[in-house]
Amino acid sequence: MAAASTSAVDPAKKMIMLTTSDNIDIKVEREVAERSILIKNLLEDLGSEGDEPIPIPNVNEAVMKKVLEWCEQHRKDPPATQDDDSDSRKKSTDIDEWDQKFMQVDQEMLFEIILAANYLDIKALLDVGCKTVANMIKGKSPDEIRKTFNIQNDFTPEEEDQIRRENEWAEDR
Amino acid sequence: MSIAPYCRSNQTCSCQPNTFPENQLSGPKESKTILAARSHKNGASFIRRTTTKASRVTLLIRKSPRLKQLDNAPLKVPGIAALPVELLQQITSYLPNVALIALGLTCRSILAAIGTEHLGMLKELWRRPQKWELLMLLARDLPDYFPCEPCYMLHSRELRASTPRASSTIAKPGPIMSLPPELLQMIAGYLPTSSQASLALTSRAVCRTIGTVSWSEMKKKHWEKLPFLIALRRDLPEYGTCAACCKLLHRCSKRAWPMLKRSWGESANAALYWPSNYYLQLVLDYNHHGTRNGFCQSRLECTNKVVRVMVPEEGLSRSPFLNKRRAIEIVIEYSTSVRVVENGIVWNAEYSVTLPADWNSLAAMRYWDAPNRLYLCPHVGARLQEPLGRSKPPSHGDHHQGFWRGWSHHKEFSRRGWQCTECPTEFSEYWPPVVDEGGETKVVYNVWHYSRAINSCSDGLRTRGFVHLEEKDGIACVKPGTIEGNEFYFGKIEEMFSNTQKVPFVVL
Repeated sequence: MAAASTSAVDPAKKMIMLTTSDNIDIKVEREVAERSILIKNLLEDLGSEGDEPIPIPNVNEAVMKKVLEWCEQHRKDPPATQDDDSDSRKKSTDIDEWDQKFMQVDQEMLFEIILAANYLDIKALLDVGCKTVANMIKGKSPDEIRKTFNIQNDFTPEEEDQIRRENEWAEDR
Repeated sequence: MSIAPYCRSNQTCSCQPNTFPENQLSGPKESKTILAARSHKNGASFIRRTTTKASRVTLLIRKSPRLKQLDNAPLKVPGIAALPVELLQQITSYLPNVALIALGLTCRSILAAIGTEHLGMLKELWRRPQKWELLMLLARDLPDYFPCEPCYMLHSRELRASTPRASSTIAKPGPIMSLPPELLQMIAGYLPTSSQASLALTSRAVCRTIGTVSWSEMKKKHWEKLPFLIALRRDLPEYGTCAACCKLLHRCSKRAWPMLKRSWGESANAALYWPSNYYLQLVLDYNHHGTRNGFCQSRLECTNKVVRVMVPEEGLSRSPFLNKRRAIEIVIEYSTSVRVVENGIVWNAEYSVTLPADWNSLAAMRYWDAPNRLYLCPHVGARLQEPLGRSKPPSHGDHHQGFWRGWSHHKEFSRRGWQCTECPTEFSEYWPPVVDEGGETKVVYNVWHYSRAINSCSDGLRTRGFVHLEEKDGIACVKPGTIEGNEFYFGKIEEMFSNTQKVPFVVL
């Protein structure tokens, strides 16, 4: 991708510069970067030739590289449809193989990716991230979820008992 | 000969002189020596007892803050400890047992004066309310302990550290908590209702964010509720999930306890597990007419452990070797199962009785006799026989009214069965192989009972003359019992039970 930076033959192949939160510049093809609606809108609004670096203050270098790796892989994907709140999309938590491997990172990175995808407005990546977390939650008991995600249980035993009774989950003794 | 004020032989007795504050012994010279003599004699025997028998007592004494205080800073005013032994004993004669034990635990000299007889009662107090009173008193001194009602013991609060609640000292919440609410909601959007409900239960913050709609939704969606309950049960080991009623049921439901009618008077012997006919009727109603009348049979199932205090019979205690009737605590683990058969209900109860560990010939006599109060049905007690295959074959004669019909699956009679002549109940007794000779021994009893339950108010206890003896060619043999024309040959109830499928009661 570095080879095509000389001329403006194809605007999609043109390189642009992103500056991450830790002040590192990353060169990336415009088409790849435009998977992010935020960057795409920024570029359109600026109307520049892409000479100035675009600051991305909420994402650090490691996460940005990971996100761009995903964008590189999915550069040819059709843009997301607008009716994305449909039930069919929500109910399925299937993730394709490449994305599954891509998401095999530690929890901290996983949530950083989700936050970055949310900030950069990359719908498809956000979906993949959320599906990955959902798959980690599925079929687990509350306590198992707490252990998985290090959540502190602040319900008192009495409250838990009351919840169980009110919702008719457990029979009185 | 003068008696040293403290323990003379430090080698044999662990009373250290410095643990006896000198000021406490500042009474008259005469009583001081008596007290010292007693403290030596009883102190040594006390330590031996506590280490061998009631190590808990030692623990309590060591941990008691009051005693620590005594050890560290001797009392300035001698007070009650300085009284002559006779006076102290006179005072203590007015005290109830619990107060006496409490007084005995205050300091060594008082303990020596009033004797250690009463301390032994800590272990053998079988009058439960008294023991509870004592535990409540002790718990006030020991902030690290709490009295446990089911066990009648003090438990360390540290034990709770293993439960998730106490150990939840998480320094840093996981990254999922740093997600903005809309992302958490988005993740929850991908989850089935059952997992949403689980997620909402993890903490207040999550619950506030994703809401509890899933909980109310599950009331309509039974197919979502069951996987949720199965997952939830993993957090609650004391519960089981009943697939039939789609609820968590306590594994020791109150309804599982016997509701024996007292109409048949004093002669009735309460079996450990004996569901009343009324409940069995409700179970049949549930199975025939749905939920409105009655409940699922899984409500009558239970698994638990009881400690029964058994006292050997008078006759045995009169033997020259056993001059004291000693109560023995025997642990009985039980698990029960109820199944609806073609025209009635069959339930099974399995009792696993653990006999104490110090197994010598003298103790054995006591132990075998002790659980004679464990009744398998209101008519037949589980008097323990000598373990089979150990020395001599069993004698069946002394079972109350139960009729033995030995059947042996093994050469060594490790399993045998018999049935009640009064009611449609079958029993089997099984001695699992002893792993450690001289260690704890177990005996397993199985009870199968058949009940028609319908339109009967006698609680199914009396089907008098259920099994008849008849004479055939001069030999007494058994005629199978009948209920409403159905023949009940021996082994039929167990067969009916094992041929019926268990209710889908998930206890993973």
